[in-house]
Amino acid sequence: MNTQYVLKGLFVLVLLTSACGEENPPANPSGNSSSSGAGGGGGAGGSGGGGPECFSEPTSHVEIINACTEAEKVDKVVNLPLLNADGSLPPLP
Amino acid sequence: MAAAIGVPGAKWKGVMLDKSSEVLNGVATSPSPEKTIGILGAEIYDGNRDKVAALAFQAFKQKHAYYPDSTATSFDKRNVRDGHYTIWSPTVYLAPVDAQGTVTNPRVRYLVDMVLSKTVAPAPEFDPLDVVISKGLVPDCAMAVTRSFEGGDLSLYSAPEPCGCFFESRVGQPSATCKTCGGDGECGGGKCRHGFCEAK
Repeated sequence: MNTQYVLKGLFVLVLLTSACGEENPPANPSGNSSSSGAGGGGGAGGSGGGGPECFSEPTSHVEIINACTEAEKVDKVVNLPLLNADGSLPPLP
Repeated sequence: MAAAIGVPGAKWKGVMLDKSSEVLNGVATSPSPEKTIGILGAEIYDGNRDKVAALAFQAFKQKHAYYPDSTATSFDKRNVRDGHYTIWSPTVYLAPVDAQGTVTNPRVRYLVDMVLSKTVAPAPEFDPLDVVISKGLVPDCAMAVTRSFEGGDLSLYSAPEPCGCFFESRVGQPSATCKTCGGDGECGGGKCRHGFCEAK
């Protein structure tokens, strides 16, 4: 018996539509997150850090996930109360 | 998903539901929608966008969060295909194979090859790739990235028989670089696949 990779499936996180505004642009009056379209900059969210805004010829994993794109971007403002000062997280309970 | 966020499945909190329909209903009818998150296959979500909404996902070391599609309302799976949306995994089929990795049962092989969009005989009276796409899945031939294990880093990928333009034509508008064709001779050294010129 062996395995055969056939298709790429995928999973998405889903949230009730009635909770719109938090993630579903363009409605975002609370500023909890924001979205931008093609070329939209906005502040780098969370773990983005420094470096170029995007990569036009990506090769590595980090460059691929940060490749230049016209896709809609969502900038999250995260609140991690248990985050340690050095950026690490406490052990899982 | 657990691999993508670095939290082992055994450490997750919440309610385990076995069926997509149960997850969908649980999220859609939650008395506390702002506090409710479910995980669902995109092909299920796409047919129920009137009931629930997708969250954008931001991977570790990623500067922005992205939807599976290029916008919250499109169906093009562009961000899955090019690596901006990292929460995906291969759909795995199990079948007995020989030493060369060929499925041994001819009927099973015919079915698997059809789903993989390989040439089969007799040729079906429909385009299997079209069926796969219509179900909301992303065929391997439309992917521009791959990974070697669940949750692993992405790397660039070029399918042996690419179908990116055909995929795009079925889920929205093909890219400006896509050209329709009736044969390989129209593709400038490339191959005509499913009515579109592909690089190989």
